Amino acid sequence: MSKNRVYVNAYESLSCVGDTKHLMQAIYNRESGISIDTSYMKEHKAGLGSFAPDEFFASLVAVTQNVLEQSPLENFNETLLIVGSSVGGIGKSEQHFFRDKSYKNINPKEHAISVISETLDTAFSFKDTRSLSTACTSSANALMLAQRLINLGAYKNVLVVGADALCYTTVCGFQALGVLSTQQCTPFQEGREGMNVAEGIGAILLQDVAISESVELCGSGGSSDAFHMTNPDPEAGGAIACMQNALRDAGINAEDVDYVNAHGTGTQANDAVEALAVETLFTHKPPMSSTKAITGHTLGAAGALEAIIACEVIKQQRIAPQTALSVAENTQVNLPLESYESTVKYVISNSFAFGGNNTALVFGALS
Amino acid sequence: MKMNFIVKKSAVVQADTKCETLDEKRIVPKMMLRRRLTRAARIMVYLADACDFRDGAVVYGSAFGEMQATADIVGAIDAQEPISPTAFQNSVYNTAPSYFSLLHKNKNEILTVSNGNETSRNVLQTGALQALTTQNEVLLVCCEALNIANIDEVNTCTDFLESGVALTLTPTDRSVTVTVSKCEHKGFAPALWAMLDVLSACKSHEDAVIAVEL
Repeated sequence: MSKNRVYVNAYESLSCVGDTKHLMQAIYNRESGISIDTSYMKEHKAGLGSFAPDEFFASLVAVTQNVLEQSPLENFNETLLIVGSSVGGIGKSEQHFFRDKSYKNINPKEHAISVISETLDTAFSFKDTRSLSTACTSSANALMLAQRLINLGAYKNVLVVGADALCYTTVCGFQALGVLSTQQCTPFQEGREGMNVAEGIGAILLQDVAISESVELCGSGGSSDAFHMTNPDPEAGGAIACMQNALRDAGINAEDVDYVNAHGTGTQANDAVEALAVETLFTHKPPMSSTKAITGHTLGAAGALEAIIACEVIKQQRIAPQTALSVAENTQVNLPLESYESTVKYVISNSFAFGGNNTALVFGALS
Repeated sequence: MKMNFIVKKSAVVQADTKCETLDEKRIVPKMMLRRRLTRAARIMVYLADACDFRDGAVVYGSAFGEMQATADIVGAIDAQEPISPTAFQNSVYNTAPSYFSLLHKNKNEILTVSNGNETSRNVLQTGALQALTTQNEVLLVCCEALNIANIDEVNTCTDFLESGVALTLTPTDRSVTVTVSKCEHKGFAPALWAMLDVLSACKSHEDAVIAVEL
């Protein structure tokens, strides 16, 4: 059965370095948006990525409105919304609980993951909404779902929104796991300290027709490690499998990939396994970098945010460098320290999550 | 776009407070793993076992996720006590199906849906898509585990503090044999209703064929 092709036709983002234009400037100039914070944990410093004082839900609507204005659409009435989020509205529940010492003023509808889709549906009246929550792969999986629906011809327009705000639960939770960095994170660096939790919003319009600015979402693939709840399979089986599935879906070979946008959280476990997976699968050593050194880890929003970065790398034909790297732990992968112009036809973007949930997306330049 | 699917297996479980007959010792023989399971994970592996499903793509849904782990974390932060790393790793919405994948070494795709009262409708749509993508049987589970201290301060949606529903979908070219109607399922959280609609419609039909709107 022939598949409809899937085109990324408009997008916008918000992260600790600003909108998409400022995001790409920060990435290419290696200017991190991470700040050192003690407001969540008075006894501990943590490198965090925040776009405060912007109000998160107002920003969510504004970013989505920006995508609508860029798009060929007049409204989203015939568009499916698929949200990816890992925390939803838990930040508001925390505020109520810390103040009241009870749940009585928590509104369950504002607590749940669905607060994101309901906020956007109220503002834009989508044809239908869906919402995924697979921790840090949430919006990558939302993109995978959107691609499959358009491939089948079930929808012509799908808006994917990845969104997660900072909250005590995630900042203190990652501290409890011992994986937070007190400084700007240093993905793939030897002796790296850990990750930076951050907030982010990424909104991407996918359609079944191309426009002059389109990038193609060529393929996607998922897998499960079935190994451990938080630690990745040390042999990288799950990471390799999801990338192989995405390449197969895209109909390309590993050696066709011109840039790898890594998950690259800056934790010991993730980066070692991801580097091993890339070293094993991509023997032609394409450039790879983790842009989380600039944005921090935006959790459920990361898949969408990094999909936007992948599209920008293709449009600008310029490789994103690895910021905050001096000595790489794995010298068999190609981690460029400076940005440079290059022919970029295909980019693969990785997302990995708790529970061994793995997703890879392949984006391609229009031929 | 509507496509047809065979519902080969289905199961449901519910309790006012706590499901007592989840047969954990047989289904999860390894004690270390069994001890780590959340309530939702226990319900999920029970329902998967009832559907005789171990290997394949899974679509799981929950409107409110892992409430006990979330409450433990927020309570610890408020009390300025250490957070349990296990509570944090168990707090994500894909915890239950991830334990299922660990239990059965299932390396297939797992997707987790959470969209309020539309959750099980979204699970059906997503499960149907995954069945078409894999051209194989897919397990769909929707579960709420809300039995935490003081939940009555916020619970207005269900009489059953623990409940879950599961079914399997397999793509088919056969014609529809069962029409699914929307019903109110008294006592259950509305997040489960769409899958309960399928369960009710198919319970007296072997290998019922239903249509699912993608």
